[in-house]
Amino acid sequence: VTPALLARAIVAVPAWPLAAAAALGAWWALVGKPSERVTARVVVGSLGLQLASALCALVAFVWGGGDAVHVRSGRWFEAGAYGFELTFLVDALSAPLVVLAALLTFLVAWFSVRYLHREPGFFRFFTLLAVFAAGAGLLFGGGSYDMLFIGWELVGLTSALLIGFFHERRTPMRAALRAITTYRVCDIGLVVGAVFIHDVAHGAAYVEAFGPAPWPHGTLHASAPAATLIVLCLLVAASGKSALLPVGTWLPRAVEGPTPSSALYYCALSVHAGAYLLLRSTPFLRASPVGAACVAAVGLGSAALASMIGRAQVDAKGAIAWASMTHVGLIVAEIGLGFPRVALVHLVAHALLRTWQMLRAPSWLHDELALRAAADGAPLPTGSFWQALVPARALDALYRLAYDRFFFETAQQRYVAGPVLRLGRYLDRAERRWVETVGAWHPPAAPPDSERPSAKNTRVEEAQHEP
Amino acid sequence: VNGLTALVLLPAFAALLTRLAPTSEGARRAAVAGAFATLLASLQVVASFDLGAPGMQMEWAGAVVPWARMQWHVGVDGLSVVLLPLTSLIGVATTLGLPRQSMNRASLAATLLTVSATLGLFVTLDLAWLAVFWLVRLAPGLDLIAATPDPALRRHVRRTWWVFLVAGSAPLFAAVIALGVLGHRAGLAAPFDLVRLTAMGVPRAWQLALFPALVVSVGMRMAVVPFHGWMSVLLEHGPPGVALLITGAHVALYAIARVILPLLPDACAVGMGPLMIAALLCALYGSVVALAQDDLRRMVAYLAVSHAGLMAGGLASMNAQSVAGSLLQSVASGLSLTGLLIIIRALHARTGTSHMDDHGGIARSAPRMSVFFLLFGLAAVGFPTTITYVSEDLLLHGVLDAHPLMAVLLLLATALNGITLLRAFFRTFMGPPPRGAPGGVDDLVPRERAVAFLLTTSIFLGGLYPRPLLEARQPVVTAIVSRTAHRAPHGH
Repeated sequence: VTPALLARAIVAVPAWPLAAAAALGAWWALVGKPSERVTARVVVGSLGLQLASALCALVAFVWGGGDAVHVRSGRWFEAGAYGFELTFLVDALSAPLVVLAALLTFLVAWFSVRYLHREPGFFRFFTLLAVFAAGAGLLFGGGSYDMLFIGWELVGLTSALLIGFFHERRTPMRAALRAITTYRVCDIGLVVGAVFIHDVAHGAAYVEAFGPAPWPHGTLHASAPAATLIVLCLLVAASGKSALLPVGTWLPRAVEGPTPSSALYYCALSVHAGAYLLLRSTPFLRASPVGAACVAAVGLGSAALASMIGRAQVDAKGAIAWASMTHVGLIVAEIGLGFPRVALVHLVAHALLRTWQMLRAPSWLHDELALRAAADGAPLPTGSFWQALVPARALDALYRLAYDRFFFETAQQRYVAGPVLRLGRYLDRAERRWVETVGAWHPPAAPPDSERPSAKNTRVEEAQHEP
Repeated sequence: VNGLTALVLLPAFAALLTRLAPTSEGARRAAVAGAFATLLASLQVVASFDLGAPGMQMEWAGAVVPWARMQWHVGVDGLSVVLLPLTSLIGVATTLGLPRQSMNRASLAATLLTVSATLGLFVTLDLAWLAVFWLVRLAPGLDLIAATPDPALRRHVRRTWWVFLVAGSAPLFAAVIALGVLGHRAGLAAPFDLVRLTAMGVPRAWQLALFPALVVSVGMRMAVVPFHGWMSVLLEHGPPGVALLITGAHVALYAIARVILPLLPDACAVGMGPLMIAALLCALYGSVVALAQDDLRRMVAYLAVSHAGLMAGGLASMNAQSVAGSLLQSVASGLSLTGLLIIIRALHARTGTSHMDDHGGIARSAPRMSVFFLLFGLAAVGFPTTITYVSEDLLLHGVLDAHPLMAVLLLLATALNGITLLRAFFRTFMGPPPRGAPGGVDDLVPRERAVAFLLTTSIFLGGLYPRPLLEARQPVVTAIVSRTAHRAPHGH
């Protein structure tokens, strides 16, 4: 057994939970819904195996003296000069993150077995969790931007479906739709960025793009403008997934989902996926001072605003979500300022702490009282020093702005979603008129729309709340 | 009799049995058995097909019809061999999977006849026969429309059918006749023979004249904007089984790859660049209109229009990746939109409406219907691990090579399609039911489940292992790209 051979265990990291999800899905389709016990055992078991595989990869990395191992496992498809390579990379960035992801997913799944006991969506939750684990494995362990994208999409879809877990209510549906809309639009940045990288580096694999130098170093063949373009594309993608402002307002609404999945996605892994993407692309950031400055500015701005908004929150999970956004903003700023190792440490520490916080959120009151008893009174909130420097009048205005989340959502609705929907409706009316003219349509006395007394009301309500 | 001829005749024979069966249950059984037999026969053709070999296989030529100079000449290559099982699979899905109330004896027979004509179109190598099948495909549907009970609706659907589909074929007929005249002048025994005409070549001036006519006809049938008006009418009010077969873009795409690209390479080199930009703009247009729909059937119609734009744009950028992607996308789109429409029809049959606002929370009473809708939806928008991801990835790389800025249109269209479908899913299948809505919806019955399972399996197997599909088309793609590449004005 050699380190290179042991590192091939990385291939199994996404494979175990994917197999579990496929098996459960087939069972459900052909036999019926499996029991809680079977579901939990299959998923937690596969996540345990995933953790073991991830640890093997980490051991292989350390044993091999810290040399990156690039694992190729064939081509998925090809046409002309282009082919999709299935590759994995074990290096100083991916090894710790794959282990972190596998560990947190395993722990959260174990925790959820009791937390979601007798919940009607138990089976759905665990199947989606398995798909997520596979996605996270591909995202952090994949060896190319294309592989990362596959994991990215799996994580995004399961994220939206778990936000809408309690589907009897309308608000989780809206939150899920808001999240998936932001993802879909921002993912364009990742696809375009990946294709530019293909063009610049003649391949989307990290070893092809950055050469053999270990992370965070790398040799690039890209010019500064090309690197800037790529960094900006990736920044758009990272803003969607890591909930950086101005597009990240979906995140605090996303904690409508079950507590364990909120912890796993919006405190631990999914929210750091964007930061991982930027960390992975450090050589591009080094080649492009402008791009790096943009990343730092977005990160710092996001952290400052999210921190202010978080202070004006009145619910526990909302406050945790905004605090999570604040730290992700800081991590992104560290990446932009050129401290990738600091950012990596910050990322791991933040993921661990915040996950614990979110999992404890239902016991917040109990914890808070214990803390006050121990501290003999309420401790000063963090940032009180800075808050004292702001004049009182400005503080009022800031509070007002923070309470309304700096009107980001209103602006998204008014200037992006609204116009697109209005354009669509206008074109639809024109279409109907044209087809009715050509097709000689003479509708009966009452048009079918007015037959529904409830239709009009629900439509108005929808229009107000749709992202 | 040649195997391919038998394959074309098989569903027609099944249609005859369906018509003659003594009971309506017997007619149903005959139709389903006929559809399955056609699927098996087309899989047999695929099994005996040699993947790597270029050129036509299983060729067979009969005598030339004296007065029309048509010749029954059949054969398959990598382009058409994939489309045979696809068509038969859609035939199975429609005969078995659509609600019984909408599939009476006449609908079943018409569906099988449409399958037969579609298969004929794919196997014939004679332009005149191709044009005949192009038109004959429309006949069974017209017969069904005549049976629509509501007179206003009947007139509307019939008029749309005539204006867009039948009259839209006229330019194609004119172009085929012109090509036949050309073949006759060159002294060909069978002047419409595609293989010989391709080998002979068409003069440049003729190419430039015929190109617009063919593009209009094909664009009409493919429902590329601005020729797409019939799509929403047909899917909303048309006969369900036949509508499903007629709306598939793979037939028109096949016509481009089989007729326009090989016969008119010079005209393509001139005309395809602008067409690509137009097609991608049209794809985005379809996505924006789809986003605004409140009715699931209309939403799928505009989704299909958007897909048609993407495929036309991919084929028009004429490089190896985009052509392969476009041809694969036609299969992917056919499978996923068929699945979506079968689920929507099932929902419509149970509740009498497919308007999103009339539904909500269906997932509780009909979980399988909801999951299959989600899976088909994901397949329709290019989610990784489905076959559409592969085709859209190839399309994207191809279009980027041809015109980097245009790729943004493609990406915007696919992003919007994703939002459209997930929004429809959340609005229809999740959330609280609207006030006054019926308590619950019956889940898919076993036959519907079987069809949905069959389609999902094809979608995911094709997505995880797309190599055979791509390899089958490889020689055709290479031929198309190399034929047009050296004629491009500035060279690619």
